[in-house]
Amino acid sequence: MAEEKLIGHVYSDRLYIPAAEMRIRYRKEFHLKNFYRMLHDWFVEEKWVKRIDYEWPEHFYLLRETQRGNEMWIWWRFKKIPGAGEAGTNSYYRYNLDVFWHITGAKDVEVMHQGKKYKTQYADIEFYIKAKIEMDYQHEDGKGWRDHALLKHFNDVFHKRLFKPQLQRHKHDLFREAYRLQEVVKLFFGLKTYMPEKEGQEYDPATGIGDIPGLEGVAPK
Amino acid sequence: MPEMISTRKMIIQKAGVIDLDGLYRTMQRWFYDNQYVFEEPTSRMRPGSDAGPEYEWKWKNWRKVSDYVKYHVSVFFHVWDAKDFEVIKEGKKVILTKCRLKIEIDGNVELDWTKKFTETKFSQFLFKFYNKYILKEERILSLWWDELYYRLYKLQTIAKEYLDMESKGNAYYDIW
Repeated sequence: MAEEKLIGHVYSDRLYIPAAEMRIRYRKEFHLKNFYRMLHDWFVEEKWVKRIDYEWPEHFYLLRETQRGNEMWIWWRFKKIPGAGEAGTNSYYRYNLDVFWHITGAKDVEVMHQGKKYKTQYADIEFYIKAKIEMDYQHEDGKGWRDHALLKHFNDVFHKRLFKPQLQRHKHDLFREAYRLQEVVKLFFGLKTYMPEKEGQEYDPATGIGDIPGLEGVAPK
Repeated sequence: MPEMISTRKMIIQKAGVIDLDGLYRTMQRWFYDNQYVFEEPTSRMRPGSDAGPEYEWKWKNWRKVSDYVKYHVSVFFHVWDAKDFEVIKEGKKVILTKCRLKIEIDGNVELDWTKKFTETKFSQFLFKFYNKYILKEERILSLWWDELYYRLYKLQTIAKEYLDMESKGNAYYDIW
């Protein structure tokens, strides 16, 4: 796995095209652990990461306990090479999906839901999603076009002119994927959505509290 | 450099019982049908007051008209004191929302979105010359600004009809 730079912004020496940027803000009761678990499973299912715990790209986790409640900062930085594993996997561009959580005032509370008591959390969560397509990503390992004696002269022309239509197509794919992630989060919090099909909501109860209709008594604790 | 010419801001306010879910989907669908790229950069929920929670949604939509012109439309929804309840309408269960709603619709015409005329002072001069003497500003206003404004007026009419407002209806329905 490539080493990230320790000094300087993580994107300062990278070529990228922004694809989507959005945030979701929610302040009410929700089950934080179930939310974390649901997103973990979503990223594994969408092949952003393998189900190997030590490879999970959680670059930063801060927990600050205050009198007003717990404050948490969590940074997830996912990378995916489109078509990875298939013949002709590209070595020039990849998808980057950065997810930043900021949770403030998190407190354990008990709520009544459908006549039963459930332990959950009350918090203010800001969920920030940034999707980008990175070109010449192998430059971080020193093996990119910008490190080659001949190819470095063609790098700009290639991604700005020759390969631009393909990159725009991939940008739209990544845009759609980022908005599917937004749909998952909004459905979990019970916010308004517009997609014709619900993204994964059939599996988890809303806000992670309560039982799934038809599966009473087997709700995750 | 790219220039943004804004249309007039349109505001709709209503307090009462509305089908918020349907309004949200209908307005979103309008952008899809009119070939806009739809983005929702902010979606926010707050506990609000005892009367009900508060919601905010910001939409940013854009559409390429030509190599020189792009339309941008931003919509801002703000809902206060939202309370959902179920009713039976025509034999079906429908979830309606009692709330106070404000919708702001804003449009912008962006010229030179490809930034071809931004690099040098000479190209910036050409940009101003082109807009002022060749397009003569009339074309900008009478063609692109006009089209965006009346199309947004149709979007506002759709919202007013959905909210069953007294002033629903569009006298300019046949323009653009």
